[in-house]
Parts: sequence; C-alpha cells; structure tokens
Amino acid sequence: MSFPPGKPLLVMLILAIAAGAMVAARPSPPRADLLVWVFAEEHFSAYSHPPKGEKASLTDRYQQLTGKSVRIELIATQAEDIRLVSMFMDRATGAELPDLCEIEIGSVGRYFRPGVDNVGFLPLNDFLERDHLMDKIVPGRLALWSKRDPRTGRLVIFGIPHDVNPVTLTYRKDLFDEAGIDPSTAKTWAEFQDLCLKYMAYAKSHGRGDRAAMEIPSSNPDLLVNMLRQRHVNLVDADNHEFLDDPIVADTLAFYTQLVAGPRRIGADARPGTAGFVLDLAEGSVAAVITPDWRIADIARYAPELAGKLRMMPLPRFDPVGDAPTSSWGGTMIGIPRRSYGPSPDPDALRRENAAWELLKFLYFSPQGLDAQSVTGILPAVRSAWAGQPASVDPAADSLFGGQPIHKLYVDLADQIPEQFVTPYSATAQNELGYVLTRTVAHERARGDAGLRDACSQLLAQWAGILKAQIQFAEGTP
Amino acid sequence: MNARRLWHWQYRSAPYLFLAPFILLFAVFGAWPLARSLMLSFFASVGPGQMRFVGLGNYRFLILHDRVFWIAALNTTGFAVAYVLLYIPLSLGLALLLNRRLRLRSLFRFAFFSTTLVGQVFVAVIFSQLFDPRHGIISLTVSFLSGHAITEINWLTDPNLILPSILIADLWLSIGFGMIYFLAALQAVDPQLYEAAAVDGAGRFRLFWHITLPGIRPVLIFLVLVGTINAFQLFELPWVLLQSSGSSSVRGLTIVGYLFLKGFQQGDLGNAAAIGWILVALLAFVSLAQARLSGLSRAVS
Repeated sequence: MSFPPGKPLLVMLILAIAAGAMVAARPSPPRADLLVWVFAEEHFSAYSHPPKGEKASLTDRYQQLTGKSVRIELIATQAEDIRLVSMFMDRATGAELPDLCEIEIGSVGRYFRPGVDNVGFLPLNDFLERDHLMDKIVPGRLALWSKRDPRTGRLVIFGIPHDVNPVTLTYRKDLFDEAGIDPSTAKTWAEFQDLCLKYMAYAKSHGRGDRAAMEIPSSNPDLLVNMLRQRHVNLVDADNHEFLDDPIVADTLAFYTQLVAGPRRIGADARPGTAGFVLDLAEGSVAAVITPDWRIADIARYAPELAGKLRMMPLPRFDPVGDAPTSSWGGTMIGIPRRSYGPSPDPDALRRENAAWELLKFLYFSPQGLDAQSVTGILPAVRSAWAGQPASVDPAADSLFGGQPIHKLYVDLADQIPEQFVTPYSATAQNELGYVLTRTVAHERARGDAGLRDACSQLLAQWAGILKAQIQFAEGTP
Repeated sequence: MNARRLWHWQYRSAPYLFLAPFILLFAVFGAWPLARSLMLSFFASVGPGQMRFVGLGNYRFLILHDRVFWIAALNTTGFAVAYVLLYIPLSLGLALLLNRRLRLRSLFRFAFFSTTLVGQVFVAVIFSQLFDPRHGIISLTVSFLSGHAITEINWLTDPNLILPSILIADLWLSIGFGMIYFLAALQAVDPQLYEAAAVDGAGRFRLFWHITLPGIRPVLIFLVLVGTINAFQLFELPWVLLQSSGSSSVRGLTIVGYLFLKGFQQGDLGNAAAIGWILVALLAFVSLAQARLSGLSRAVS
C-alpha cells in the first residue's frame, strides 16, 4: 500500500503519533498532600534529594514526622510568575495552586500591586508572632517581603526570607601584592579608587595595560543600586515614593560613572555568562569583584586554581560614619498562596494554609531544614543558623581565601545590611536608573568630567518625572 | 423524499462541518483571548478582584504621557526601517549570487539558510559572546583590522551602537530566510525572457531591472511585508542579547519589550494589553500603506 504524499511525510506522521502517544501514556506525578514550587535547582536538590550518606530527603523526613507527603516542583522563574499571577487573578484555590512558593526578589514586586487584603500571598505576621519567630529573622530582610497597610501604617509580611545575601569585596591578593598595594586599607570608595589606579598604573608599566582593577558594570545598575543602599537610599520606598532625583543618587551616579569611564576609570564589565566574572578574575583581567555570598560557590566551582590567592573585605563606604559596610544583592522568599479570602473563609482552605505554614517552619526554621539548606553555601536569614556553623559555607571557600574566615565576615556584616524595600515600581526604577547610567557613561566617554554632575542631576530629574507619572497612573492617583 | 432532504442537508452543511474543528479551535484559542485582551485594555488590572474600568485611560496615558512608550516606539520604528532596507537587498544579493553555477552551491545555500533554523534566543546568546567588548571576536577583529590597539568596543552598552548591533545579529539570523524565497522566485522567471532581452542588447543591469525585478515582484512585496511585521514584533533577540550582556540602555527597548515589562514586571496587564493593541493598529497601518504604495493588489491580480 502506498502513501501518496510520500515516505518522508509518512515517517514524520508516524513519529508524531508515537511521540504523542508516549506523552499521553506518561504517568502523571503522584499527588501529594502539599505542593511546593521552587525556581532554584539548588533548593530543589536541598529539599528533595537525600544529603550525602543519608537515605531520606528533607521531604521524606517531614512525611515521617507528620504523615503528610510533600511534592517539590522545580519551575522556571518566568513560568512560575506567569502561572501564579494567572492563578491569583482568578483567585484559584484548587489542587493546582501550590501550598508554598519560593519567589525571587526580581519578581516579587508585581505581587504587591494590589492592596494588602488582595495580595495573592497570605499575611504571615500573625503566624510569626504566634510562634515567636519574628526575632529569629534579620529584621532588615523582613521589610523586603512586606507591604505597608495604609490604614494602620504597619508592614504586612507576605514572605519569609530564605537568605541575607550580604555583599563583600573579593580581590586577588597575589596581584595587588605584586604591585605593593593593600586594598583592604581603603575605608572609602574614593580611597579604594586611588589604590586601584595605582594598581592599574603598575600593571600598565609591566605591559598589562588591558587589566582593569575591578569588575564594575558600565550599564547594568546592580552595583550602583547596592552602593545607594549602602547610603540608605531605596529608589522607591515602602510608600511608593520615588527617590531617583535625590541629590545622593546624583552624587553616587556621578562617582560611579567615573569608575567605569574616563581618566579615573578602574572598572570593566565582566564577560557574559555565570562564570564570566570568575574567568576574568582567574585570568587577572580584573583583580577584584563584588561578592554576595551566592557568588562564592561559582568561584570555587569554576576557578579552584585561585586557592589561597583571594582575600575578602567589607565594602568601602562613601561616608565612613553613616554608611553601611555592606549591602545586599539578590534574595528569595517563601510564601503561602492565599486560599481564604473575605471575612468568612472556607475551613478547608484555612486548614490547608495552616498545614502550609507548618511545612514552611520545617523547611526554613527547623535544624533539619537549615542543615539541608546549608549545602547551598548561602547565609540563611534565620540567625540561629549562623552560630557555630562554619559548615554552612563550603570549606573549599575558606581555602580559596587562604584560610580567612569568610563565613565570619558575612555573619558580622549580615546584621548591618541596610533596610531594603521592594515595590511594584522598584524594578522599573532600577531599569530607569540603568537608562540614565548608560547616558552618563556616554557623556563621560565623550566629554570627560566636565558637566558630569549636572548631566546626572538633569537626567535623573527627567526620569524621576517619568517614573512619578508611571506610579501615579498605575496607582490611580492624579 | 427523505433521502433527498438528507442529501440536501449534507450538501449545505458539509462545508461548515469541515470548517467546524478549525473554527472551534480558533474561537477558543484565538478569538476569545483576543476579545479578552481588548476588554482588558480598558481596565487597570491591579490584582484579584481589583480590575478598575479606565475606559481609554490606558491608551491615553501611553500616547499622551508615557515617554518610555514613545522611546520604545521610535526605537522599533528606526530598527524596522533599517532592517527592511538592509534585509531585502542583502537577501536578494545572496540569492542572485547563489543562483549562479558555483561549485559547492548547495552547501552555501544550506549554510546561509541554516542560520534561520536556530532560534532568536540561541542567536542572542551567541552574539552576546561575539559582542563582548574586550574578549569578543568582533571587537578583536575590528581592533586587528583597524591596526590600533582598541582595548574595547561597547557594542551593547554604547547607546549609539546598540541598535546597529541588534541589527547585525538579526540580519545574520534572517537573511537566509529571504534568500530561499528569492531563490525560488528567481528560478520561476522564464529564461527565454533573458535570452530575448540579451538578443536585443540588454546589459546586466537592464536584465535585472526589466526582467528579474518584475519577475520576483510578488515575493519581494511579501518579504517586505513580512520583514516589516517581524521587525515591529522584535523582542526575544534584543531582550536576551542585552540581558545576557548586562546592558540596560533604553535604546534597546522595543514595543514588545515594553509590553513585557509592563505586563510581567509591573503586573499591569491592562496597560500591557493596550500596548499590544496599539502595536496591532500600527502594524495594520504600516502594512496597508506598504501594500498600497507597492501596488500589492495589482501584483496579485
């Protein structure tokens, strides 16, 4: 029997039918009592894979303790956000709605657009107070996952922080030593810049004019935002007031601009990719990088040859008295998607929310949960996990730093992290600061320092007006 | 009588029954979401149970007050114009070259077409490496060719270089697609016309102008239209390219990129829907204008 359209089409048709049948026949994952969505592979492994030398995973142990089965689903950040927003808009309460969700800091602002009574996540203040857990968490990190209730003025907490993510500065001691410079003596960014300029002059005189002192992005404003936070400036505060046109922002932007362009430049962009900055550091293309704790694992993984050559120091400041010696970069929260709305909620929904809270406590506060999380090498937001737990950081990390106790440094800095807010407009404000930064860098490259401070002020004022209009329109205020 | 009525019913309803599966699927997955998004564009969507009717407010804000939208629209329009002006001649030039008898012609055809087989995201990731200011092969090549020791070229962070960089990446990706269409059209031109014109003493340019170009006109118009629409819908390529290289210049923001920011970063789905409908209107206008200017209806007839 012949197939008139031809053999290739027949083969494709058979393959399509076979593939469809395989997908249809694939067994669906077993239903569990509780469903958790995570976006980070490390967290997925920490919760659902048994630690080395053990047979039971964290979720297995929870089932042994409570009889409740837990399914952890690894889901891409964008997919998680789109599905959650869609479910929240529909007020979904069925089995498809996860009981717990981990959300990345860059995404969380959008969930805080509605009023506090309609945020898709459950308020956790009462749970935290009831179980006396409020004091266990670094206070600066709770504000991050909260929204202010305009009726009472109190911050309503919608998520428990997974981490603190203090930021330090890591440098190649061997390279700086060669130039006879000790960058750790710099207390301010200006002093640090001077030392870096000396280092670059030394490198140039030895035929390495291609070397930059530090990885500093010339367009991405992440580090600039960190510096602003050191100076206690959030681009948008908890009440949705914007601060783009604050004089401190203009000063910091002007200083930052001449770190990445012009005659006093010390920085260079890292090459693309997760390992890009590590390769630059290993090659000596840059001699210093900014290191939130989650970056240490990348250095250990991609450049073990740097063992003993690195040292870590707190961030230099602008004002040695008032500014923080650290900042915070990144973050993850865990929240409970709301199932109960209104004054008389469904008892089943309440039961399920309570069960989700119990699981949350197990994952984020119990010794077993904190121990499982320690494999990520990230400092948890729960203070009790810090003390006497050097194992919470990969031992390889300390050997990278020639035995310097970097875990202790992160712990010392953790409580000094300035308060940070995330609103629906924070990401927009940061984007717009990035737009301004590319313009000021272009200005510095073309015209040098002449008129730079004024250009910063003017551009920031212009974009502050745009941001204000966007916020007012979105909030429905004239 | 019954058999006749049944036959009559079948005769009349058969086309609708054949069309029904498509119409049903289109209604559920095409028409309904479109209608919903149009409705959504008249609301400010804040969250669950918090849809606020704003009438034409979203459109009014975007057109009259939102400067970022205008920046994105200008970026996109500039890109679309430059793209079409380069895409058509380059695709056609490549097709003319590969329409000749060359050694390894099939290999070259496949090589140039193969770029269209990879997705925009893949191309963006590759080009983010190629455009690396200090270590990228494009910067190193320019530095080598210029004879100066240029330490870096900020392809993706210099506001003046961002759109040209995106253009280079997109042209690399899509020229092969246009080339294949032009090749098919070139092979459909009657060779006798060339022979007759050559006998009459027509030179190469006249052959191209008076025979090739009219012969491939329908394909040319099609590619201009499709190229324009694709250029206005530009999103993944600049988004991934700029994100993976850490660039945050507003010069790389396109209309669809702004739609994504509004909808999925700020969570304002109503405003994002309005951006989508403005883009539809813009595309309809540009396509109709192009069709009229190029005499599409005459070409079809």
